[in-house]
Amino acid sequence: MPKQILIADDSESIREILAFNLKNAGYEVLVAKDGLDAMQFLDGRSIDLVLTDYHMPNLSGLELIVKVRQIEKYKFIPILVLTTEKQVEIIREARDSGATGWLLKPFSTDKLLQTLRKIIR
Amino acid sequence: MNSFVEKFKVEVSEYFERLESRLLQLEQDPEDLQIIGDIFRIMHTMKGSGGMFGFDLLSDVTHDLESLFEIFRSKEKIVDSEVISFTLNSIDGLKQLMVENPTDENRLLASKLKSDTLLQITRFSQTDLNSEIGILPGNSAENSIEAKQTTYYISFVPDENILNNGTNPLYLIDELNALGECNIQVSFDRLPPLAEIDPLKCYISWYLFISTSESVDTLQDVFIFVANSALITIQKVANENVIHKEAVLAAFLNAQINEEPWTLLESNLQESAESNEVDRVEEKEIAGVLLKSSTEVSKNTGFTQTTVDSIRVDSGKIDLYMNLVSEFITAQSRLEQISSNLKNPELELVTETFEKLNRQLRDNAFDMSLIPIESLTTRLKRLVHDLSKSLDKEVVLVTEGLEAELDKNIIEKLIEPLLHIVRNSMDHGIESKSERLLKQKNAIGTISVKAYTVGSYVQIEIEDDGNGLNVDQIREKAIASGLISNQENLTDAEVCQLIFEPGFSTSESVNSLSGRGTGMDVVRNCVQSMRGFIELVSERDQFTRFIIKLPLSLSIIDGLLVQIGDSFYIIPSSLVSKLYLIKSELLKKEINQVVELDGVQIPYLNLHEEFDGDKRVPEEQFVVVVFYGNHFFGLAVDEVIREYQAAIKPLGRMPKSQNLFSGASILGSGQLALVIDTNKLIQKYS
Repeated sequence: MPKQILIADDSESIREILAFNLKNAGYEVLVAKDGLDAMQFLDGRSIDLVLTDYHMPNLSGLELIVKVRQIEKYKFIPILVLTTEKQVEIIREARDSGATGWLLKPFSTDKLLQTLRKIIR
Repeated sequence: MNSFVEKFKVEVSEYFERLESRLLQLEQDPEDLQIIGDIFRIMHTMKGSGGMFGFDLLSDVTHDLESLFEIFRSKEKIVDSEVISFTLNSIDGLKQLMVENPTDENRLLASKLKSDTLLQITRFSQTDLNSEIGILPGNSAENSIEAKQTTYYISFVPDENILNNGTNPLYLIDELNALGECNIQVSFDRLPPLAEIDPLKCYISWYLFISTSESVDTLQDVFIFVANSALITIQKVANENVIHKEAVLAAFLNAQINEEPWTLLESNLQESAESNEVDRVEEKEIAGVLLKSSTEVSKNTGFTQTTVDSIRVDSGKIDLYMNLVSEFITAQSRLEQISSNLKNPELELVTETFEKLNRQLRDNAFDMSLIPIESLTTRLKRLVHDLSKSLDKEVVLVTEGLEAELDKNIIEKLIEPLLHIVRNSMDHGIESKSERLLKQKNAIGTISVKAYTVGSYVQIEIEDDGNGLNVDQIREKAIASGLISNQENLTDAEVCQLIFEPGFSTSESVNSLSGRGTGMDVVRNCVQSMRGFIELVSERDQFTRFIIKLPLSLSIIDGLLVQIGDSFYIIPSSLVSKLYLIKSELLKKEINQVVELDGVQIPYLNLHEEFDGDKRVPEEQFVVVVFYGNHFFGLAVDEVIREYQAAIKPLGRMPKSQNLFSGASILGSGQLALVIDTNKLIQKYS
């Protein structure tokens, strides 16, 4: 069973390149255009990882994480936040909201896959 | 990859547009934190995404711009108009940096933009800039290729709640194991009695020696996500692989337990992976503001921001879709024809349903290819903003009804003419502040852009409350340049239209009038090429108003279906003024090719003669009176059949060599009807 990854990012180009690279790496991909959109995928299906942008309209990355963690089924799934901020407080805030880790944009595909290996197998 | 880059470029151009529009709004309301938050967020996205797609220069410059706006976002300082102008200019610069292979020139521009931005930042901040930049444990030293092995001791004591974040600590140990040779001990010291065990908690700790050629940074990087939810220490044991030297390891552990400094091999290196404590209350607050700004509609600006559920479709696909729909319309009118011939009730029923569906489909297709005129306003506002500064005039741009929609292709072609008109209004229409006060006008000039939908046409009016046209001067000039003779008795309204004549524009721009005429013929040509119509109304010292009438779409138009001989033609309805039925005899007698209709002398062209040669002429003919620039012109045809919504097909290669016909439509009968380009036709024959 390939691992299923949910991507939430409001930039279409980012979504697509992420989806493309992850599919290439053998993952299955669900794509949402913001946090609110992502919520509809959290309907009990099996999701192995959430990859979410930090800044998003409707429901921000952190709010999404909080919501995900409230759902019993997804309480412990790994969640990666994509952010441009190198600021410690943002990362800390992400952790406090329940993020598993983060990725600083820009990142290469290698870096992405390497980071994924840190949190899912 | 390229398609991603292309998509990204489209996205960025939208970001630019939104930035410009938000900046202009900010100028009106410099303390609006929502707008600032929005600007910040767009810059932020561009910074991040730019790097992802290799537009490093874009990313670099927006990074600094973002820092500039951070100052305003944190309410430290208030935006002033210099910042707005500066940022707008920077956006122009950024547009030039959207190249995949930057040249030295691009790099130079980028560094100039960066240094300018820093100047702006220093202008605002006395505070220490670097204080906001946190220090993150360095992420790996991939460059270190020395194969020299070092042995480290790592203790990893996760917080009990570490699982709540979706972390699996085992993966981290796995990752370490992949970096070098390990000797791992697991500690269950914290494990409570069975009855008290919470299965959702982590009670296990790991202590390990690792011998690796990787740097300390790389080891720390393994724990980067858990740095705050675990106690992690990394200590150097030896500058060589001592993992199998039990004695050394035991000695090291002994020193640990007794809290003695480890001195066997060099000094011990205590690496703490703890990060700086930073107050983040403020950041949370800002995040709240950001969130609000993205969901709320901008206030106080006269136009609403439309962020709706949508997908982006390649415009080529829409064109294809429109094309298919028009094929469908053609097929359907053929079906109707057959059905009415066969008189089969069942077939008629189906045909009727088919027609209804078809109409919905067509409207839907229409709808899809239309975009609101509003999309042009940012460019216009920007122009007004820029020119206000350089001309030292204060002008507001008021818009109304710009939610009216037009075909995307028309909008694209419309930009230049509109900019041209607004530029002229700014330059020559609106008077200087002092002049306006002298005339007892409001010192702030107004340019208004209004749009209405009328049937399948859109009317756009651009009006300035400036000094209007000087009719006498235009008349003199037109006579001087031979456009009209001094006998010609033109009304003032007619004289005004002369500025659209190609001969009217001259290079001398000594007075307000000559400038007004510059290139107006180009504007008219452009509008006409879209089967549109432009006219001008002006009142001295009061206003100048341009009125542009355009079809909603270039591919489906309302037309008048006419017959000449055995052939059918379509004349765009937007250009038709009146129809007259007259005796053919009357036209025959005319030598001057002028016919008197309702007491007005109108030049005409007998299309029966031009198109059909000498076949039988009907007793009565229709004269279709169309607008031709500022005049009326009659086109005599054999028969006017009906109004007809025509799906227009481009002409093939061969008929393209002529320009009398701008397209063709297939009638229900399967016959072809050519769409007459009345302007070209009249130009050619008169």
